[in-house]
Amino acid sequence: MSYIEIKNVSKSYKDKKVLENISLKIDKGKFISFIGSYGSGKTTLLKMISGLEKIDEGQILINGFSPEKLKEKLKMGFVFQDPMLLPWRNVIDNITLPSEIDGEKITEEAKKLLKLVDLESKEKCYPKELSGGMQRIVSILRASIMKPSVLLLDEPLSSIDEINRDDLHEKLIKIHEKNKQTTLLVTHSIHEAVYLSDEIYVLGGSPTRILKKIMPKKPRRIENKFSSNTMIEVAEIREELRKAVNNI
Amino acid sequence: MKKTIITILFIIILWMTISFVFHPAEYLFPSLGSVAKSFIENYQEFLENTMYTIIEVIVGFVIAVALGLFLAIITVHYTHLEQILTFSAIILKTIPIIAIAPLLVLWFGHGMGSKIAAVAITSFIPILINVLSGAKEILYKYKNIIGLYNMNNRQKAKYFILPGIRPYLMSSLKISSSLAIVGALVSELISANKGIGYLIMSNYYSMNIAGVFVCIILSSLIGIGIYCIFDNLEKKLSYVI
Repeated sequence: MSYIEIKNVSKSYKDKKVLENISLKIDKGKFISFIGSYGSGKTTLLKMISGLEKIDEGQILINGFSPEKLKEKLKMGFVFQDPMLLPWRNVIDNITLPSEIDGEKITEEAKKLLKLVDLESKEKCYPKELSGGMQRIVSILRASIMKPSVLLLDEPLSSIDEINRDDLHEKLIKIHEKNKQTTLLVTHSIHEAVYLSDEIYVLGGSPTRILKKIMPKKPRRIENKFSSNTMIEVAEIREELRKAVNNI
Repeated sequence: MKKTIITILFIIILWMTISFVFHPAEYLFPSLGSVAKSFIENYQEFLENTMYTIIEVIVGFVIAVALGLFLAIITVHYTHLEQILTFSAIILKTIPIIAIAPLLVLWFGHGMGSKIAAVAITSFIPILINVLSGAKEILYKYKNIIGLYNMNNRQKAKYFILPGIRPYLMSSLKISSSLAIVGALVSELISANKGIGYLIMSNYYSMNIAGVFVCIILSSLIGIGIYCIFDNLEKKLSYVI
């Protein structure tokens, strides 16, 4: 049985339908990417999976529970486009925020996570003292602290330069391998999706639907990042996206 | 510091120039020497009354901050209540304190109570409006995190509003500091037997204009002092979003 089941989900804003009949099944522990052009409803889909946005039609089940139920148990981690760190809290206090809300501050786990991504020296720093890339990682750690069964990433690396992005990819892989949570990433970077994901869903059309599912070749290795196989997969997805944009 | 010294020197030179060039009558514009002499001769009386006004301002301020914070934190979650409160605050803001000062004396007596009430009323409105708009901004900015963790109103206040409100509170305190002095002085001018406002009237009626100028300088120093305290606090307690 699949861990996440999305059945015929549709969503409209006012009279405009943005998502139509989205159906997919995701297995536990997988790293999934959604890729599509701007305004294709990727963030809306992620917000519906998180329970932050209401579903107009269809159903989403996560391990048999509704997103709202899972959200209540703090079993949902979400990294937004803006890291949204609290400027009045230092790094460690930002990471432990969900655990404090849950009733018990778990500092040790936060320290372990910081060590995992080589940021242990920054635990007392405030967000304004961190680079953009570090802020993103801290935001990912905050979303991971409660060991959520689902981690949702909404373009978390969109404004990061190429060199730092490579480093952040490795850190993201480390976090995913440690926590083994089902991870759903929304991204504009085809290369990022191919490198990180077990499965890629190409979204497009108007209203948006799933155009294609691609399963990049594995294993995920830094030396494969720019291999000819990876480049072929990138070209394939780019072609799908081009077609989708032309059909609008 | 350098700017402050230059400004003080500029005022002294201007004052001395006016006295030297125009030779105004002492009862219209006393010389700097006469003002200094008046202060030295009665410094105890001046300082006692200054302290009295400072206490009124501090107590009034504490009440205004407590009330402003409490109302802002409670009402920010209820749109209709917040709109009613903001509208009432705007109406209250349009009424000059001089118009309600006699009523305050009637309600709270000739002593410190009516002056504290005047300070609290004048400084409460900017605090409430600033803190309320800050709280709304914080809740909007972090609405996704708040929604994700299903926070109740108490948690929103504890983790977001109270720690996040500091810059908004500090800037409102800076605005209110000058208004608070005005509130205290106006109330003392109406009816009092202590405080700088009372001394202004008492020196004016005995035609001791140098004494009036001492009071003006002292009230200005209180305002500057309070402003500097909040300015420093703002730099220490604020954060950059």
